[in-house]
Amino acid sequence: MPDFSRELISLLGKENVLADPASLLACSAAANFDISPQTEILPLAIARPVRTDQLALLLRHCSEANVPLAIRGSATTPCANTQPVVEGTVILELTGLNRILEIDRENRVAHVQAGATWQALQEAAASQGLFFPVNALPVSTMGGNIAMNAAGGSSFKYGAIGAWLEELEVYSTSGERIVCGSQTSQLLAGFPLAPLFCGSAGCLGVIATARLRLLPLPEATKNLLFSFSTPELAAEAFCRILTLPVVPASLEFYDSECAALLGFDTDSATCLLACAFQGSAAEVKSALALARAKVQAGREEKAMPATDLLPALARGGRRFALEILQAPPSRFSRLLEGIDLICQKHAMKSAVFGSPFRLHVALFINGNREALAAGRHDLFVFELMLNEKMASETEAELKREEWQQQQELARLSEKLRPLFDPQGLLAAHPLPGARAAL
Amino acid sequence: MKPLHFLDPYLPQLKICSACGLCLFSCPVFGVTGLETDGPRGRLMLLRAFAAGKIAPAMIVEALARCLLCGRCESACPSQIPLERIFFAARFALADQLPVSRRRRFLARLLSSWPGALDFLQPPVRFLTDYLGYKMGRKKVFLPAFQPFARRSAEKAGGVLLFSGCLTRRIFPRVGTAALKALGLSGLTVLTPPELVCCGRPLAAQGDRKGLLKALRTNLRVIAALEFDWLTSPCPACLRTMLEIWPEMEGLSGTEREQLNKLQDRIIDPYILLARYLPSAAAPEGRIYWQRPCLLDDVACQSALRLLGSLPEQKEPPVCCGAPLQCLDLKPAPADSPKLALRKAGAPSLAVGLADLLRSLTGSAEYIVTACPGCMLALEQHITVPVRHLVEILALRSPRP
Repeated sequence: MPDFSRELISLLGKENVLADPASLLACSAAANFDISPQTEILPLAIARPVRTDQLALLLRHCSEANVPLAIRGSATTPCANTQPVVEGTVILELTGLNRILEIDRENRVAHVQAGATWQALQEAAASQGLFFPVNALPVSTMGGNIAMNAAGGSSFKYGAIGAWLEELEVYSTSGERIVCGSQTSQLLAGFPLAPLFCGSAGCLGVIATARLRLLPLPEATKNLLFSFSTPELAAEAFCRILTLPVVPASLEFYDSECAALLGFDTDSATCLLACAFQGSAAEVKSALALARAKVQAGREEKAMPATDLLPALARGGRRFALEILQAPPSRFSRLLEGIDLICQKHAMKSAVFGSPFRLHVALFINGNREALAAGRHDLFVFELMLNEKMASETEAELKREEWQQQQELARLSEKLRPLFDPQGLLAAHPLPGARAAL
Repeated sequence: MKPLHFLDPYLPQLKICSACGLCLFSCPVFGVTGLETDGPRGRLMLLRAFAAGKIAPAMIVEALARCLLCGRCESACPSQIPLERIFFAARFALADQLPVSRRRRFLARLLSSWPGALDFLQPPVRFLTDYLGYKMGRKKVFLPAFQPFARRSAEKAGGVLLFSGCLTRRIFPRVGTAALKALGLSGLTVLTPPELVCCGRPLAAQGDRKGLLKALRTNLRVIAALEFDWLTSPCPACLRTMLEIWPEMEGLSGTEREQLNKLQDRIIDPYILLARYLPSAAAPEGRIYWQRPCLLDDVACQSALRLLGSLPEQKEPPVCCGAPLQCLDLKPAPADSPKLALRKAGAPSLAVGLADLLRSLTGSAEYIVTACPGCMLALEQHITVPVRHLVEILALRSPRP
């Protein structure tokens, strides 16, 4: 056993450090739906602190020894480095910090440790008649969800997780504890930094605990499924839903490929809009009636489709490149149209799903990698144009990474990193927004 | 190092896994320890490395042996990777490395080749344990009082073939008697041929492919000579073995394969039959904890719950009883090992970790109802709340007027 693992054992105890070859190998992989090759670098050790003081000790020790870190929750996201990408990395597994510290019923706040799962939070909240409104995978950890600013289907009404953050307890790589809120207050000793950590993809520090706001459990929830023969009709219906006096708790679009995977009998329809309403029984009843009058009769479903489409798309061994395209809700029809045109231009098969303002586009790989690269680039340029983010025409020639590097925000972010992580122990974590290159 | 041929058909499937982690939530072992090597994703990663010749078999044996083969991960996998079959194939491939004692291997083979021997052995063992006070060190010894349930031959062609399974026949004969009664109440003719041997699941769990093939052949020979409409069993593990492991077996003759194919369509869960034909009755009284057997599929489970009446809402996914651990000789992890649930300090083994979880869930129940003799065995070992098989409750219903 390498010396450093021994040091970790003396620090955290034998039961909290894994250094056996099987565990190291099993943790060297993480979610990867993309075509980018899976890096398989064995970590030095896996440390699972079970208390925050152990976390601080561990970070201080790694910082003194200059050992890089990979932070890992349930490792269900393909967007962050939860596995080692450089030699000699220690995996900091946060699943040991998995307690729900408190559900404050009066103030409707949950105090959770970073490794607590979304499911555990929901169960604890439900026992007090409350719920956490942002959807995520049941097995995903809350620390991971905050670090990635998770925004499930419910973000249409409730926004991303950042909107529900009250306070964060974060540890810098040198083991210093920072407690930061999300709102300005007289009790804060500086900037409200919580939103900075929320969505930082683990580049700035380690989230240890969080206070999250909760809502009372809705009296009723009803799900409506609308089917359309063309994507244009779906976009039109979506515009009508936007004009409703009620906001759906969740709204998701699925093209025919995805609808079939979800097991919906689509009756020759090519795409679906799944819409959920929450509130008191009377509110939900009137919302359903309104939606039906404005859109179509639709079909009532017991549950919204499960959020496991990404791995389902890989059925039968199909590989795909994933792009996420964002645009204001009112440009949903143009977004769909553009995606369709680009796929046709490069003769690519695709599957499109997600919130109408944040669409996931899976581009299937049929061997022609050049066409795929060109298609991905076109999608990127299209997204820039649609969001009016293109400063000059020459930007259309730039690759995504080049464009990102040119942005002042990227430069500022890189300048910010050493403030929190002076030794660059988290340097392997890409900045948020970075996507796997072909 | 070359991957052994049992894994060959699954090599493309191993590569499909995108490591999304959706299987983790469904895995009862991961639920206790939270370790990557105790989850289906970690096991698959290790198998992938093994198949590519990157690691020695010794590195994956423990991870593989701690899998309960419950198959829940397979139903949770959005990429539809046949995980259960892959883990069985891996056990065949690594049979000689698995921790199985000679005694356990001998017992599994005896059950599948000469079950009658146990009928002779039972009285002396019973005498030893009861009258000479010889303690076997467990609450339940493998050979309890000999009370084979009534055998009824078919009065006319057709009806139901009841595959009792070893646990029903040897340890819980009352379940077999109740199954006979419940099927009888439904107006069905029941066949229970005593020549049937073990379904072979313990052998498959021990990686004993030869023994499994022998058991399958014996059973096929007996079944082929009978006329019936449905084959059912109070043990979902037996049914799942017939449906999923038997068809995967190589080495069957053409006739045997044909017999097996013919049999597949007639295999049915007893609750689907009973929900159709059993006279309805009021839900049983008392606070019940429903222990859903991992190997009972969704449709059968819905039928079972319908038969049982309304139940309070329970935690999903349910906690596994840990019975499959009894097929192997897993060494208890030392107290300071990360293999234990980190927050469940003191649990000397995985089985106890699972039992602790179950005990916390079943605390307020008056009795536990399950639909698997395997669950009954494991629950009776660790939990004081009385355990009943669903068919025992259904057998109490009054006959159709």
